[in-house]
Formats: sequence, C-alpha cells, structure tokens
Amino acid sequence: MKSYLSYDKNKLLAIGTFIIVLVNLYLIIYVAPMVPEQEWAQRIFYYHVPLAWNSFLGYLGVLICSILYLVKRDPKWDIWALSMAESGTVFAFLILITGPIWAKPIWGSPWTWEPRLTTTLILFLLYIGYFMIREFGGPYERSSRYAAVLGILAFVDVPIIYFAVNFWAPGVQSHPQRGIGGHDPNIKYIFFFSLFSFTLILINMIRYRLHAGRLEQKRLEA
Amino acid sequence: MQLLTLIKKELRQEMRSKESIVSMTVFGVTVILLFAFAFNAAPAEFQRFLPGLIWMTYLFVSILGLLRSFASEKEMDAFAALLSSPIDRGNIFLAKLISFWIFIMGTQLLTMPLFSAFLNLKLGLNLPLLSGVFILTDWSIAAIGVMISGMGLRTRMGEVLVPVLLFPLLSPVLIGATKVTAGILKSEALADFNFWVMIILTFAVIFTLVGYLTFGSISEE
Amino acid sequence: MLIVKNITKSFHHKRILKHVSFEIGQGEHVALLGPNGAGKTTLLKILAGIVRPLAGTAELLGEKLFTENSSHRRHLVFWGHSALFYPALTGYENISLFLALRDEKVSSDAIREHLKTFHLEGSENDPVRTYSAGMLQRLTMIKLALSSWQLGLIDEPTTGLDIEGLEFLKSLSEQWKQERKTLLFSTHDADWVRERADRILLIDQGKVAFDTREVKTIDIQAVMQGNF
Repeated sequence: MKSYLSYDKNKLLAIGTFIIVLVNLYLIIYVAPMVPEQEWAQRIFYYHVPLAWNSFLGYLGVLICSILYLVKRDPKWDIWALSMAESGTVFAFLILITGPIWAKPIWGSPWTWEPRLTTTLILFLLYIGYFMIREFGGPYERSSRYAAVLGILAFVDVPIIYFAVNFWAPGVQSHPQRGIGGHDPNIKYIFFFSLFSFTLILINMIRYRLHAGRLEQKRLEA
Repeated sequence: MQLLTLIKKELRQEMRSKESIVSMTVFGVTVILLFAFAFNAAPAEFQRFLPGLIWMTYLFVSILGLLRSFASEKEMDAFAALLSSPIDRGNIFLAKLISFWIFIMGTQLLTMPLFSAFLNLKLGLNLPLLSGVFILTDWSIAAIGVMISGMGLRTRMGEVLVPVLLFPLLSPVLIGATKVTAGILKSEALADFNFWVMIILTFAVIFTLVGYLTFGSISEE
Repeated sequence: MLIVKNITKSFHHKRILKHVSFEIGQGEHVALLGPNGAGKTTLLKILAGIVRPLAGTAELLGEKLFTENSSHRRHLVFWGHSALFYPALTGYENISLFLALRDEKVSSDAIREHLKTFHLEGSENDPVRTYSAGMLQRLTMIKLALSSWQLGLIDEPTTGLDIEGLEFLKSLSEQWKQERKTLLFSTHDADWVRERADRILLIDQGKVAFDTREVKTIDIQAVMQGNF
C-alpha cells in the first residue's frame, strides 16, 4: 500500500482543507465583528463550537460503526470505529482546553460545572476507558468487541448525563452564545464557514487514520 | 424457567460461600467508619454530606462485589458450560444482574444502620421512600456493573477497568440518587425530585436493554 | 448432521483457522488430530458457541450456528480441559443444574444411580472444589451420560484419565456408538484413535490437512507426525 498523500484524492482534499482553514482564520481575526463586553475572548466561540460539533460527529460515528461491527462482525467497521473514536477524542480534549480559556475572562474562573463542559469531561473519561479496553482487553478479536459495546454505552449515556448535569447545577451560567447571532449577520456566516472548515479537518483526520488502520491490519495479518 | 434456575444457582453459591455479601459488608463498614473518622464534625453538619457519602460508599462496595461476580465462573471455567448450553446470552446477563442486585441490597440492609449510628442518619419515616430509591438505583448499578465486569472476566486488567469505567457511566445515576436521597431526608415534596427518579429509571431501562442485547459479544471468547 | 463451512479465526491478528470446512455424518466418531497449537481446541470451542469465529458458517441438524438463537445448543455438549463446574456447589447440584439448563427431564434417582455407578457415592454432597482430578472427570462423564445430546465436542478426553476412568470412558463410547451419537474429539492418543475412531481429521497450520476413514489400515503415528 502506498502512503496516504500519494493518492491524488487525499492530496487534493488536504490542500483544499488547508486553504479553507487559512481563510477561516483570516475571517475570524480580521472580519468578525467585536461583540460588546466580550471583546477578543468571544472569538474562541468560532473554534469552541465547531470542536464540539466534530467531537459529536466522531462519537456518533463510533456508535453507528460499533453497532455495525457487532451485527456484521466485519473488522472493517472496527477500523472505522477506532478512527472516529480517536478523532472525536482529540476534539473532546480541545473542548476541555478552549472552554476554560473562554470562561476565565468572562466568568472569572476557568472551570464551572457548566452542563455541556461537564458532559464532555465525563465523555472524555469514558473514552479514556475505551482506549484502555482496546489496549488491555486481551486479544484484538475480543477487545474490539468490548470496545464496540462501550462505544454504544458511552453514546447512549450522553443525553442522560447531560440532563442530569443540567439539573444538578441549575445555578451555573450556561453558554451565552445562543443570542449572539442577533447582533450582526456576519457572525452567523463566519460561524458556519468555521463549522464547515472544521468538519473538513475531521474528514481529513478520519481518512488518514483509516488509511493507517488498514495498513496496520495488513501488517499484523501478514 | 432457565432464568430462574440461573438465579437460584447464584443464590445457592452465595449461601454456601457467602463471598459477596460478607466481603461487601465488611468493606462497607470500613468505608463508613472511615468517613465517620475523617469528617469528625458536629453531627448536624453531616446532614448536608450524608446523601453523597451514602452513595460513594455503595459505589465502592459495588466495585468490590462486581470484581468477584464472575469469579465462580472462572475458577473451573464453568462459564464455558454455561455458554455451550441452550441459554440465551441475554438471560445469563439478567440472572447475573438480578443476583448482584439482591447481593447489594442485602449489603445495604446490613450496613445502613451504621449510617444512623455513626453519621446521624435519620431513617424513621423516610424508610419506605428511601427503599424505593435504593431498589431502583441498585438495579442501575447492577445493570451497567455486570456488563463491565463481564468484560473484565477474561481480561488481565479487569480490576482496573471496572472502577475506571463504572464511575463515568454511572455518573447520572449517582447524581440522581444523591439528589433524591437528599430530598427525602429533607422531607421535600415528591414532585421536587421526580425528575431524578425519571433519570435513574431511564438509565435502568436503557442499560438493561443494551446489556441484554450485547451480552453475547461480551461473554463469548 | 454437522456441516462446517469456511470457519476462520484469528488471535492477535494471526490466523489460527483458515477456511476450515468439513461434514460429519450421524453416528460418526471423528478424531481431530494435529500438533499443539493447530487450532483443535479453538475449533471445538467455536462449534460449542464459546468462541466467536471471525467468519464462516456451520449447521447442526439443519439449524444454523453462530446466530443469536440458542436452541441448537440443545443438540450438543462440550467437554473441555477444565472441569466446567461451579466449585462451591456439590457434585449432585452441578449435575442437576447442568441438566436443568438443558431442560432435560431426569429424575433425582437417576442422578444418584449414576453417581453410584461412577463411584462417586459418598462425595455427591461435597462441593466439587474438594474433588480430585479423577473424580471431576467421572462427574463430567455422568453429565454426558445423563443428557440427550446428538453431537459431543470433546477436547482430549483421555488426557489424565486413570485406569478406572479409562474403563468408564470406553464403555460410554461404546454406548454412544450404539445410540448413534456423533463425536468430534481431539486427542494425542494413537491407541484410542485406532480402537475407537471411524474417521480422522488432521488439522495443521489452520487447515484440514488430511481426512480419511481408513483408520484401521493407516499408520496413525505417522499421520500425527505429519507424514501421510
């Protein structure tokens, strides 16, 4: 098998994504309007929310591929699930970093038990367990099945965790972004452009990881 | 029928060896005493922490019990006989769930008085409502716990995986159980915490279902 | 009665069974031979439903294996290296539990009768944790003698048997022959194969390397060493 970038399709996708991400960065820094009272801190919102979107997409993918793996028993779906899990976890980790960066100037403290942030933290912990199971769960043929079950458990648990945390700490400020779009239509356009460019990054990552996973499988089975 | 046979098997083994309930109870007593020593404050102040302490204790106790829950299957590989019998994997899961549920309730029955004795828990009139919360929460703990300890059965890292995975998966249930317990102890109106009862109930139903459906993938080698 | 097609299994990505296919007829006693690590135990465990194959299908008396359906396992029984009992339960309880899980209608008198025949009288109410290896093997034989299976999957039945146990197993195997019960058993015991098997399946490097019904005429030692 050849290297990832030796395929024209992958090369094109990578270059296209790189350009779009640069444009996105320019838009966020130079074009996006200032939001009163939040100033520069608000701009992390163009990153923070797409990160959450990517993480969600990744984990949703894990759920779907895990079910397919358990039903069809085809290792192909396990490689898909693993690729999505790793990509999703990278983004979950970034949410946990960017959240406090934003919260510090706005709320005065880096960590509050904000429901979405807390849910992400618990989900992140669950996925640490997911990778531990893959590592320590015995031979691949079995640990991959355990991981699939956990991938399902984790995603099904998320809404319950979210509702629980939401009611658990009702006094905590929740995300204020909902109203922001009303200030200036540009905010909305730039936000959606950012969402698009981050989704492209996710697609690149998953494709790259899939390629690596297939190579690894070939090597191990040889 | 087979489900009943399997549950009877678990209970008979427990009656013989008393492994689960005794070790869980002794450990529970230790944890409660530890809390009593560590928070050596005025008894009135305990009331605020009590619900959290109760559920932390039973989370630890459950972890200990779950680590032993498949031990008898492993010792002479009886699990292989179970898997090669004409029983649905889902029923094996349900039998383990129900028997562990009974064990943890038994442990609570034996250790709850200590909360009254050392940590000033006022059971009294709250007992019927509290029992309801315990029955429901224990079922949730057992459902998710049996799934994870089933994965630990053939894994050399089983002792690590159970505690690492149990807490995050159970977090909504533990939050809910703590809230409801606090509500009952403060004699609040039922309507104030029925949301939490719904959370625990949803969890119990969903994870019993997921466990029933996926236990084949967990139990087969 | 048993049709196995393309069973494949890997372990840590290494293929241990590669597209294993064969058929067994009703009443055949088939010896599964092969070097250690050839995948004999894995194959038996896959057919018993204990190990999940990577790919492949199998059919037992017209019912598909490897599905969520568990009813086909009524027709089979597995006897492995370990004793497969609950250590805290007594010999009697283990037998009656096993039979109850298979939905077999066997009277308690019949169980006690068998315990006596297999020289376990007096120990039937002790937990099997206290049994010796020979007693555990005889208890397993009672399990097999009392249940109504069609396909017996047995992993090295003669290993570690004492003379008494060997005699019991011989008479059982003759009885099963008469009842036209099918056996698939792995073994390293050439004499046992020569006397008791109707057919030899040799598994080597994850494949069926040799399959013959000429058990009486061929050199079994040579087959076991890979010369055929």
